[in-house]
Amino acid sequence: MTVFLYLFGILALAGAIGTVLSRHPITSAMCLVATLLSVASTYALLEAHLIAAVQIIVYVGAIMVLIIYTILLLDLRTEDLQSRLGLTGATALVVGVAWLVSVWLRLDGMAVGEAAVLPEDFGTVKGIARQLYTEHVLTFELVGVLLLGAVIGALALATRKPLPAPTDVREEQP
Amino acid sequence: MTPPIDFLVWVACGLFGIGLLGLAVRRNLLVLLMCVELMLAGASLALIAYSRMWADQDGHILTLVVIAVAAAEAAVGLGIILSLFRQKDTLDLSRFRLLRH
Repeated sequence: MTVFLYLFGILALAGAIGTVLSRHPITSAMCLVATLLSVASTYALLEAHLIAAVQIIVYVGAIMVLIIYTILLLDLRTEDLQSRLGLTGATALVVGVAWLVSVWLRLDGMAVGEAAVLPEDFGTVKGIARQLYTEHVLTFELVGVLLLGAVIGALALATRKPLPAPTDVREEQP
Repeated sequence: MTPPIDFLVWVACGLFGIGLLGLAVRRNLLVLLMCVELMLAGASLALIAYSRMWADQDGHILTLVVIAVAAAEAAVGLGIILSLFRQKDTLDLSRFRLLRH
């Protein structure tokens, strides 16, 4: 079981690298699907059964399908990666390494790795529901309001009249 | 058996860092959205791993919230991307200067 945790962790990282480095958005989307499925498997191995199912249904089943649908709807050209891996990439790499070092310094003294004994209904629908609808019921309602706002926003974006063509004179043509 | 929590936290850090790197390097708006999803996945993985370590379900609840936020973000983000593409016929970030002074 531990072997599978390592396997899925490495798969998730590989998919993430593929997402960032692939040239066409559809390849990125496929790599992201692989990453999200690996993360869902990791959840299942960590006894988070409900979250694993929700991750697969909502993330892979809804969000990624929506993104892939958008990619297919738009006529996209492959992006020239080479021109961007200059100064910006170097800066981002330096920031990323500094961030990893800071995380390492923080994690070094912490007692990680020793897992506690789990209660009976840990991570099941019953266990999650009991906590979600008693202790965290306000969070649940706020998430509902957030989703309502997102739906109204998406609707407003989809139904409004298109903006007039930009008349910015400073804009140079390619 | 005890799961390797420290390895999973490193994977979570890696996912977040790779997403951040992609956010800085890539120019395609759709790929940027996917990089944000990567960062959210990294944060969720750390939450679930620590949830398992402390045998506490609060991390699971927070991950559910994160998934809902990701769904909202995808809905609004894809709407914005579609309307931008209708306007400019491209998704290249360097071609957008709506907010530039």
